[in-house]
Amino acid sequence: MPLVESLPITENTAQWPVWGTTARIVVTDPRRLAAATVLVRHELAAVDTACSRFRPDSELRRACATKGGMRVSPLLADLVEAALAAAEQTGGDVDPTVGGILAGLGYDRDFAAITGRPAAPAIRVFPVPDWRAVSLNGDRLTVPEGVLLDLGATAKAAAADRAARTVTTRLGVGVLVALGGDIATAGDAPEGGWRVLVQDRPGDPKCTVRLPAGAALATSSTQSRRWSPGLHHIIDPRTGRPAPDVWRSASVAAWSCLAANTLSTAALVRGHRATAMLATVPSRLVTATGDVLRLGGWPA
Amino acid sequence: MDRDTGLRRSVALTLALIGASITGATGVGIAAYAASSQEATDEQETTDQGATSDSPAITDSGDSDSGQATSGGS
Repeated sequence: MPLVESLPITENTAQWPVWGTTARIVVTDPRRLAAATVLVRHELAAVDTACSRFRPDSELRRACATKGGMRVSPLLADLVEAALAAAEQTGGDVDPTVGGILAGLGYDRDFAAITGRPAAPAIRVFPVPDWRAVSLNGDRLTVPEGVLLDLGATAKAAAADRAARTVTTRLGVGVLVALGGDIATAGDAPEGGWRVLVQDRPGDPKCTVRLPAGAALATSSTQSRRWSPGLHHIIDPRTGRPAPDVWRSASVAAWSCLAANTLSTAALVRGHRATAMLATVPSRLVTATGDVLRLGGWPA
Repeated sequence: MDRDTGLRRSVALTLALIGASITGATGVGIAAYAASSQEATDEQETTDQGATSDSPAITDSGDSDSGQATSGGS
């Protein structure tokens, strides 16, 4: 199951369930908490309407079903652009065209609704993932016939970034926005920085780090969002199967949550080759046996 | 773990990963690392590579049971 937030809720903290995980915001001024919550909820709702893979009325689903492409909103264009940029940056390790594979494996609805369902059939047919076949020209999005985009790997992180920026811009307050493993900050940080507990599953190795103002942190996991033995949501586009459990989790710090999530997701797909990619990026890999590798200046 | 022990482990890990990339035997690096590790009950190891200047500098909080939010897999 996805992250269950167990940290206490204080006067400057709010949290609620969203997208099969937990949304949590922390503000530097508790008097702005209510207004910040409204802004974040609004931002998340807009992202959901634009790019949910599970809503037949989402703009993304309509775009995927429209032959020849269609004009899309600036928000969806931004989210698709982010997904395609992540695919290019990672050499296709983070590929938004794996939506059909995920659906075929049984992840075809909000995660909270699929846990405990029987495994999908063993033989499946799906288009070979290839993000380069997706065209975004200005506001015109064209998706190859039969391809279902899944922006989950990048859209949640982008949503955290967007929400944090919105709160700071509109309310002039420092804020941390956490959407499960994806954490974005904006504005001033509390004295000493934002304190983030990094831990995937209960019983996994854990540590608490401090993030400077504006920094972000993302954790991706092969252990969370499992709905059947051997099935989880991080897909290797080259095999069409969930990535091998080389790493239990990968955590990466960057100046945007989108950048951090792109690398943490790619790390799980790359397996052993992830260490080269992350050598100069503050990152933390937990092996299948629970050992911890810290790279790029991640504190001991 | 003293400084010399840490350095030896970092060198061993680096060499193992280089060897893995050359031979294509990608499991070698982690196996070598795991063999050199003590029983893993908490975070134990690090490399000596530093962050680039365009990455945020994160620091240890000094405890491992608290925080304002949790970053875990989701």
